[in-house]
Amino acid sequence: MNVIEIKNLRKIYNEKTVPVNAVNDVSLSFKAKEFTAIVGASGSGKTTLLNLIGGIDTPTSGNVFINGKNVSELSENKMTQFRRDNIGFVFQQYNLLPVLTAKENVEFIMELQKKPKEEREKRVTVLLTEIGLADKINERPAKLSGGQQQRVAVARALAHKPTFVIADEPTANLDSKSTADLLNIMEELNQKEGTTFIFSTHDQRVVDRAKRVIVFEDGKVISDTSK
Amino acid sequence: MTTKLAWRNIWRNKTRTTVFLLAAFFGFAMALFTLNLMKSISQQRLDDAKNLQTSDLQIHKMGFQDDKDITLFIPNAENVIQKVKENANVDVVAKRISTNAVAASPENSIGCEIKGVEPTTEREISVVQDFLVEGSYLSTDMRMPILISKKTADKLKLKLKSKIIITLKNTQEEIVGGSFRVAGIFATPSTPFDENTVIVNYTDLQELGSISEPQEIAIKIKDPTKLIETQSGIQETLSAEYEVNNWKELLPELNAFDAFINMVGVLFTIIVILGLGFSLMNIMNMIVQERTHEIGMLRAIGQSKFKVFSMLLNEAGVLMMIGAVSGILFGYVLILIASKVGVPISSGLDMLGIRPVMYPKLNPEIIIMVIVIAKILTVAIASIPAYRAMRIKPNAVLRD
Repeated sequence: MNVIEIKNLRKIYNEKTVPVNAVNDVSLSFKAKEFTAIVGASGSGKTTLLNLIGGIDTPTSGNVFINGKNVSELSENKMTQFRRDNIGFVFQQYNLLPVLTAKENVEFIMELQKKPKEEREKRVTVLLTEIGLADKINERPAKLSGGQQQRVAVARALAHKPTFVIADEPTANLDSKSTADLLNIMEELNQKEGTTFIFSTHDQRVVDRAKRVIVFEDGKVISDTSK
Repeated sequence: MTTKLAWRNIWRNKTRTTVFLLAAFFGFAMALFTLNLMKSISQQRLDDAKNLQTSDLQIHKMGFQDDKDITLFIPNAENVIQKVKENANVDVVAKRISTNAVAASPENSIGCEIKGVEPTTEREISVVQDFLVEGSYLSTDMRMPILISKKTADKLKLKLKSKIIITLKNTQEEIVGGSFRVAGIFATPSTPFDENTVIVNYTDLQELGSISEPQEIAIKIKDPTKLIETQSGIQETLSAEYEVNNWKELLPELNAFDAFINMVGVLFTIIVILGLGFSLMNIMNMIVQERTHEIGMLRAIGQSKFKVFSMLLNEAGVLMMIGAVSGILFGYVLILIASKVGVPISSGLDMLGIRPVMYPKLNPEIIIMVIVIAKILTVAIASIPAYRAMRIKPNAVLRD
């Protein structure tokens, strides 16, 4: 069953001045548990595509269906709520809240969802153990390495058990060891939690580990290969 | 989590927060101290005037208040007093005669208002005896005793037991005079009262002015919060030829001064808090600027616009609250100290009835007013940057 279906998606920036076709009539679908890498040069439109799939940008035309629901038609407030409940995000710059501890960062979205404290604590403990940071639970991001911060970001993205996780160049700022560790964790959680992962990357090590690779160029899909 | 997050966020920039908190601390402390001092001055003027001159309520014959005509006495005064005493909130009732006169000594003469009072009841209603600096209150073992102020004594060059001649127009429109002897000298905080008033026994003035009935009945009430209710109750039991006035009507200039002080207090508080408010707005604008990326990320992971708005308001609220609470506590301590040691006031202000040293009291209404104004202004001012933060779009932030 398709978790995500994209139909004739188009995103044009600067429509009235110098139009840029960031995403140009793209149709794709993603199944549950997929571990997909979107590859392309800088400016190819892969981040825009992720933003459109994640509902943090609106398409110029076309539709995004998530679990059969057309999210392109949702109002801004409904979309925010939808993102909170169904999508996990991992950013290139980690983007953890610097004033919160690792534990508090991971449980943040569950707090927004008003999940009971007991449930939050249990989930945070499981996730931080799985990412190997059980001993760093009360550390703030400044005390963690880049790799550790990105692992906390992955735990945060998965904390509320989303349908899928979008990761925008998650390994771009990491060294080889941290990249390998992160990919191991992402793969493991992809299998254990059954969460679909879609990530954009330049990194060949990431591409090698992906089960499906979509190559993007000038806003268009030029190849889509499953391993 | 919201308050914890707000608390931690405000300490991200320790210097900025500390500077603001110091400004708020001293701003609130000074505002509270100044407002309480001003209110205490105003209250002291009102209390002195009420206790020395008017009491809570007064009854006159209709029209007496206009020109203080000696012939406009209160008919059947004893009946009126009996009716007034039936009111449950009435504490003390005293009758008075009051007219204009000239007080003269061999050295000088002055125009004044002479008051004839019954010493026993008057002592319960007025506080003049508390301000005697020499002699005693209208003593019974002296013939024709008179109380004069220190200022009058100096002008007329009189001492205790000196003779003083009082000349006035009696009810038959004749000029009459009487010789009184100084029994006591008072110095009250009210310069206008001291410069204008001499006090004699009710019966002595009654005889001198050929006055059969009093022109004034002064009433002290038990519960001052029921002033208007008591006034209306007494007025209803009396016929239309009697006029019942409360102290606010009898001392309109002091009442207006009190209203003016209250207004200045509100304006002063608004100015102080506006100053702090603009500083807060500046801080909040910087916070939004610095955390644009972070706010965009929060919006992306599912924090609603309302939550972003309330998060920023919370931070502003926590900042202002710490400043306000600590400042108010410090202001309270300052007032406590000042209430013991006193605050010297410019000596020239005694002309306005202001005492040379003030002992301010804490007025809870002022604290409530300061807190309410601070709360309203904080929400109003912080709403602007919070609104800007709320409008940050996640896509604009994450594309870079």
